[in-house]
Amino acid sequence: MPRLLAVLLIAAALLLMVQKSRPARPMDLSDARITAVIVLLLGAATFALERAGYRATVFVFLLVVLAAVERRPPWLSILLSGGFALGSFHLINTVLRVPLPVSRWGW
Amino acid sequence: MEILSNLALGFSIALTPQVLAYAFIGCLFGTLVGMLPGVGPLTGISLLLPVTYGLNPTIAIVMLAGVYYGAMYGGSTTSILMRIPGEAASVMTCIDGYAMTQKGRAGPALAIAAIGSFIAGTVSVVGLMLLAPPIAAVALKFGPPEYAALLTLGLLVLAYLSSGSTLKMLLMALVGLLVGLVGIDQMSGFARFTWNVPELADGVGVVPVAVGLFGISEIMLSARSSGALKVQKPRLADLVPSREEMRASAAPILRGTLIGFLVGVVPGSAHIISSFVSYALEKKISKHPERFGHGAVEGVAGPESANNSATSGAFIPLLALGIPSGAVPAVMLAALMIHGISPGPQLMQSRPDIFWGFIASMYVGNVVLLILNLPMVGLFVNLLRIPYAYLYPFILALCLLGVYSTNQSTVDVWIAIGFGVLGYFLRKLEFDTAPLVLGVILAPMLELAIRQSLAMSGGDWSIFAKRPIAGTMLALVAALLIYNLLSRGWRTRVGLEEK
Repeated sequence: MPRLLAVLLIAAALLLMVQKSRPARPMDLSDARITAVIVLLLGAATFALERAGYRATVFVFLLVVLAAVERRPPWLSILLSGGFALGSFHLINTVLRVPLPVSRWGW
Repeated sequence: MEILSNLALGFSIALTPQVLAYAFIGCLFGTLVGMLPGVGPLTGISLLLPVTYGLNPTIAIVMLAGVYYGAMYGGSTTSILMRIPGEAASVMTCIDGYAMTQKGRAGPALAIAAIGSFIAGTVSVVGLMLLAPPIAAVALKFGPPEYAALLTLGLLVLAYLSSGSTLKMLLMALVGLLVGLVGIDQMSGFARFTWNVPELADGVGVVPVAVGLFGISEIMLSARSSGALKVQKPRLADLVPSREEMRASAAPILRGTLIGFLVGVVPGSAHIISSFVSYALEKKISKHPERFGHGAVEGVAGPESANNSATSGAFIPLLALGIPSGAVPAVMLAALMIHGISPGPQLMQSRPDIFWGFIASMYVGNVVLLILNLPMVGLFVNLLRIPYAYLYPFILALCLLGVYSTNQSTVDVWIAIGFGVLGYFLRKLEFDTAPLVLGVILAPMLELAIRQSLAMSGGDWSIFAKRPIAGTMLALVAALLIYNLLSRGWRTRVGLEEK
């Protein structure tokens, strides 16, 4: 089955290349910078999630995006990030009992 | 009579305070999800999925279905007030809905959209209730060859009917099928393409794929637009449509309901296609087509009814055959399977409480949505005043939370990020990613059906041609492929392709 699908995929890709008679438009990559930042931050958050715990990871992730990337007021960023990290942990982990990672230091 | 007694059973479940409360939560969350650009019903359902783990299956499916049709309602609000479709199915509503807003008729446009959605949603549930049992009865006679043929036909029709290039859709479906084969081979027990990652033994989950392709990639594409939006806030008293507007909307609502239901049953992005078809039909049959695009109420009533009706139609293949007809029903299927429920022809007999409870909850959900969307529209639009720079970090955090808590696995989060990047580039290259998600969920079913069929026939592929139902469906597949290739070749020869 995987081999059959791979053959079909290659055949379809070749057919698409043949059918594309018009010159390809250059891809608009004007949003590449913010995309790269988002990917990097999500990667860092995923790496930290089970090591630093959910609350700390999400707090730092939101704080960096709001305060550093989007340049929002620091006090508001801290308030919103902390509120979301603690509130969502309480709702999902404590109320709905879906386990979320906790660091070895207990937070 | 049997249907009525079954429906009574359904209402006895749907009207319990607990189910009502979760239906309300689902509808509310769906409305918000539908209003927010960048989060569609698919991402919404995926994010809410982990929350349903502690609930019983009936409540879980009722809440998730509420998100689906709530998103259809919510999408119309941003389309009418701001010309921003919160959901892809609301694109057509933007045209005349926003034109009505500019003329000072935002309130009636919202009211007609809500009334049309309510009527379409309610009528189409009657269709679902009447059609699903006989289809399921026929499907009980299906064996593996028929299922293999039906799944192939479904994927091909999805590629054929979706907007854009059929070949691109097929490519996406094939990529999805390949991704869906990762994990332990169901027949031999060997691990395939798992790269020594134990978490991949169970396969690539549909939730990380869907959240990556539809949630994370959407944020990547729209994060630059961080400014606050100007929002009109209609008052409750402004919502009442005039008698003329009501009269003009009646027939488009009924036509939209019928179109939406019929298109919904067919695989594909039903709710999106149905709104396009309905708008085109209303414009075609109108005595004053020149009014369309300048605030014709028919251009709001038809598409809004169609996209809501299509959501019920899309549940027929899922509930009666166990086959999702699009990306959203595919995630719903995953949700049911997590709760140990296998939708299909036997569901009605084995778990009538779930099937009929779900049907009854859809009636209740439509009433809840009407109550939510008319008097509270002014409250909801306040959400749109929040600058996107504040919203998208929280949507990303919700994506992270939703994907992680599905299996408590960071591998799933890495997969979601990977598919987010893939989705970003695919959408830049004008590929529709919905067939990819459907391919991921259909791959194990399709492979199992093909291999069981070959086991039945001792490896003879002609079993698919010898069985009448499977043979007919595969002949349809071949006819569709040949027609598509020939018509494309002809169009290229006469130089129409690029025009």
